[in-house]
Amino acid sequence: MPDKNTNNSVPPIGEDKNVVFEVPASGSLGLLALGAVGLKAWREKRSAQQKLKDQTPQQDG
Amino acid sequence: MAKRLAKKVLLIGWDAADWDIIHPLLDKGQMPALEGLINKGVMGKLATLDPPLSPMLWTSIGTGKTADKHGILGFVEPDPVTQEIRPVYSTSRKVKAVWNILTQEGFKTHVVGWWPSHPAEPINGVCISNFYKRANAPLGKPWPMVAGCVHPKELEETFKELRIHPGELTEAHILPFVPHAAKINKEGEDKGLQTVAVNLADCATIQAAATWIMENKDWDFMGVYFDAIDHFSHAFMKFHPPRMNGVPEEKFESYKDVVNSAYRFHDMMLERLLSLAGDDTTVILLSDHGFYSNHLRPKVLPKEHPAAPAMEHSPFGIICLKGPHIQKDEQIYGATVLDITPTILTLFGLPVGQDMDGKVLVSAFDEKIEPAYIPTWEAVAGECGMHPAEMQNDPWAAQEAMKQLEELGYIEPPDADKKANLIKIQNETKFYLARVHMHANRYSEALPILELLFQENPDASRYALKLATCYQMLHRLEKCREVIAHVRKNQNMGALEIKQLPQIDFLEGSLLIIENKPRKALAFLREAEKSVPHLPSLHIQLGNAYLKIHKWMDAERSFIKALSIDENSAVAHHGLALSYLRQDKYNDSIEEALTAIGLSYNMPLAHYHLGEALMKTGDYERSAQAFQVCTTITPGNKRAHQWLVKLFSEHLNNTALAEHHTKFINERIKGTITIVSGLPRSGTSMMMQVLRNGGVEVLTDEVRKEDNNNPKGYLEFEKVKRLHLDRSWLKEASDKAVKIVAPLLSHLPGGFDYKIIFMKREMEEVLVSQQIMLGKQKEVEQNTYPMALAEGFKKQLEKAEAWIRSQPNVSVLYLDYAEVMSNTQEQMENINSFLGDNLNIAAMCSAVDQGLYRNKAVKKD
Repeated sequence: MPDKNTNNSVPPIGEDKNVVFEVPASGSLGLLALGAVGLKAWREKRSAQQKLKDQTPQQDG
Repeated sequence: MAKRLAKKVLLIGWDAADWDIIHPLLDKGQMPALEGLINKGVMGKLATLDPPLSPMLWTSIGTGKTADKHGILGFVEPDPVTQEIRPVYSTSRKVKAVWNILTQEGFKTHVVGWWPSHPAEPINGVCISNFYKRANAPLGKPWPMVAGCVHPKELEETFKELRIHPGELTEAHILPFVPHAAKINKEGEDKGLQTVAVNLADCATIQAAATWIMENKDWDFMGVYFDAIDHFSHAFMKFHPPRMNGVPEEKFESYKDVVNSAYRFHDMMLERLLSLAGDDTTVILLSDHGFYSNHLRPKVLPKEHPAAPAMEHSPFGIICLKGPHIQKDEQIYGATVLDITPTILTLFGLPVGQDMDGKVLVSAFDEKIEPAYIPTWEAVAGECGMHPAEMQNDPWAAQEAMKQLEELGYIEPPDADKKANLIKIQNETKFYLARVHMHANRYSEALPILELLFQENPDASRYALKLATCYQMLHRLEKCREVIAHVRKNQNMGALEIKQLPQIDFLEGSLLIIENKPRKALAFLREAEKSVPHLPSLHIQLGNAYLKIHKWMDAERSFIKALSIDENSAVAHHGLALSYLRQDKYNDSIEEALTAIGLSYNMPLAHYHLGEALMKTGDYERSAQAFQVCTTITPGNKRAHQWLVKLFSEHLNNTALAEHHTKFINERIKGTITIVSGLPRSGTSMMMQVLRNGGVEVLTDEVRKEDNNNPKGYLEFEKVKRLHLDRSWLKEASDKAVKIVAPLLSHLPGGFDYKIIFMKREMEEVLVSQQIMLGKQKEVEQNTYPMALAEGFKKQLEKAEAWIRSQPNVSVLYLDYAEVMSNTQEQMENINSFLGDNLNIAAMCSAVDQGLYRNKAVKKD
């Protein structure tokens, strides 16, 4: 089991205000464990990435 | 109102969490949030109830009441209208849960996912039902939320969005559970990865809902229930290391990390919940039962057995508490799932209902707590957030009403399959209710339920086994034997039923121990051992049988074996303590007795034997403490008071306490009277002679002299004949033996303890012997059998035995006259064991004169 990710974007847990979470588009157990805010952040990131993907022009082969 | 001890309470349920999995993870630093909780509070084992079925248990946790009172008796119930089988509903709960009481008292109360809680109750806060989390459509398809999942309704959209679909999860979520997931063919038969995804999505959904409430709503009480550890364990514990026989290497490698990972993920969720709760919140983390993770894991679960997965549940869950007024870094003992609601009410400064079956966990607090009580919360009026009366129902009563409508022709009868299924589930529900009564020692309430089930389902040995156990506990030993004989003879049992035959040997062995026939018991128990060698209770009974015949080393071995199977058996530790004590291994005995008491405090004899062992080592102070605890639990234990008198007067120089216990013995304990009973001419005089030879003082006035019928004398006491008119002489019989014929037994008053040796003899032999005694030799020669007299005596015996069963202060040893004659040594040893192991067995044997067995019945085939 990997440790929780520790870079940017989601509100910090507990008293250590410096701990922040990276939000990978594929999600993580740490984000699920965070609950509502983690879920929201993950879905936003996933959605943003999907939008980016959709906007990227496809090259014809 | 009592003092409020908690500002806020966070109650977290981890279904099936078990210390056996948690401890190694804590040791490796892999559950840091739980470790922090433990260090800041108290921890212990939480005893479950029987049957260990989660909806029943979580409702007992939430109400402080047993299932016969709260009404949730299984997983399913009939829909009152359609009669379709459905998961059990919150509307079937008959009593207020803690969240209803708190709502009524004005506390802001939220509950998430409790089992059962659908439809969500209209409490003073948010209620999310147990139907909320489950995805019922493939990813990408509409996934409507089941109506009634969320209270208040206006939050439905918010919570709808907080649900996580298993299909959303990615490798990032699954690989920590199954590192080699790539090797598993997802299209094949192995559905393990889907199971991981579903369970993970379910518990993450609950976490999302709970955290949203904690972040966005005010709260005084927050209850969150996670079922995922139980579900992960049922699916994957068989792959948990060490590898069990029969588990393929490949599958073991794939899934061996799943259970540990599930616990670690729960620890991550716990960290978030603790963080949101803050340090000033009282936190209670608990599970409803444990889960076997070692060699006790069942290899196969019988598919035909309803609720078979419950066989994987172990009897102790976990409990941790931390917060203001709670002790730090301490263990608590003796907690049960029934204690949670009384403890929460006390934390909020509210009185505990006297109709609740649990107690307040006072030992968890760092100050002396005196809980307040009211007769019941059910009678306290006010809005409590339960469903309105028209929604509440007893589904089985509704089913009966539907049946009546069907019989009257108003509705179509259900098809045959549906009907059979309903009957099957109704039977199981009744069976669970009987088990609830048995677990609460209410055997007489369980009995009629089991008798009916057995009558209607004579081939179901599960019902028969419980019925036989019930009869055994009620000391209806003949009936117990009848049921055992029925199961042994039954040819119609299925594979499952036949598998339970060793249980019948075990039961018969236990019955023989009660009947003080330890040698015979050993034969049955050893037979059972061949088929079920890993049954801990079997080795405990073997140990008990060996203790009765003073084979201390054999007893020691049996209890050690029981502990090698289940190291948490308080009864086995106590048995081992006694085995060591009798072998003069006092320090070992003390250690085992203390372990037994640590596991189960309410064992008066464990305290008693601890006192004995401590006294032998010269630790008089602690010895006295142990005896004092014993007398607190069982004030009538005369021997414990006697030891206390000796300790306080001879060793501890405390005459006041010595006098206190002497006074208690004299005023409150009237003593034990040994009674020899039965019908006239069933061997009662011989038994009196046996006892006198053995060293028991007998109460006799020798008015009735010996004669040809009884050449060794009658040893009777004339006043016995007037027992129904005058009982004042009974004090003379204290600590002595007296002969009282069976029909007079029911005139014995309370206040004494009676040990009855009840002689049984073939009715024909009794009647012949009586006729000869009365000079009716002619009738005997003409072979005239007095049928009416035989019936009359039979009824008198039944009446006497019924009286014996109903008396709490009576213990009985039934002896067969012919067996005393043919197997004298063994029977004398049984008597000695029954009366406290102080008699001269050889002298007792000499009182049995085979030559006086003159009227033998001819045994008919």
